[in-house]
Amino acid sequence: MKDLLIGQGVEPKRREELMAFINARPEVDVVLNLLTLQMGPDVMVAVKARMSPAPDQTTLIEAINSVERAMKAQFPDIRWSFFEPDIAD
Amino acid sequence: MSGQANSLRAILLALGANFAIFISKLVAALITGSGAMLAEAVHSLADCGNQGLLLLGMRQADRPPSEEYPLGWGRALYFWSFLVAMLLFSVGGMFSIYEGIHKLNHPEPLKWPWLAIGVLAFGVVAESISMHGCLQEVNKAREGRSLWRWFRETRSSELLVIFGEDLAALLGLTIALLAVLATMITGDLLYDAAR
Repeated sequence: MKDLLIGQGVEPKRREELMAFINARPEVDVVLNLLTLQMGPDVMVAVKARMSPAPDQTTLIEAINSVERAMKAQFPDIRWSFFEPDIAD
Repeated sequence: MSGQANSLRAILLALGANFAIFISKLVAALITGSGAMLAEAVHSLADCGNQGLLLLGMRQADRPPSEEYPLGWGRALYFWSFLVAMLLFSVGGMFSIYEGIHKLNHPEPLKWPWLAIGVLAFGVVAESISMHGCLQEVNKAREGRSLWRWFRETRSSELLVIFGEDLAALLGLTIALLAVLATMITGDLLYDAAR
């Protein structure tokens, strides 16, 4: 209970599943950092990832949006997602 | 998260069980004048209030996000679960201890022991039904993990509290049942107070 009040991430198994899911997406090269926070019945995630090469900014943004959409479809309790493209953690 | 557990069902079952037990204990306490029975009645009433607080927490957690609460109210559940856990300990535990000490200093003979046993047996049945329902939800959330690992890993604070409460109630009722039997057999009121 104390852990949840302080601010605990999702169950370890769920985090692994989420990590594997994002890493398996073709738009993503590799996940650099994944942060989750359990908010009662809902979940917040913050992802920092190196993306697969994109020809321009619009393609990159669309890639991020499609990953976020797929993520929320697969894990319906993810209510908030903050996705940051980066080259190193 | 954690499977498709229905915490609401577990809470409502516990509420129903506790209220039924409260009524039976109150009636019995008025007839027998047993201190332990009165403590148990108050304990059951407190448990009903606790389930009410958990329901309140679940409703509050559903409030939509706003500018002031951008990530919503989901974590309100943890606050109410924590409060209920504290209440279970303080009201249930402390009052029982107080009653027990009072009984040690001012022993009263145990009247109608069979009624006490009947109420306790009824309590065991009601709590067993509640526990059964709770375990069904826990099993959905466990996803093959051991009960202990679920207990350590779950983020479902309200289900955790209900599980703990059902478990404590069942253990308490069993001990109480044994204590009444011990008093009946030995005629020593020490057991009634200890109960």
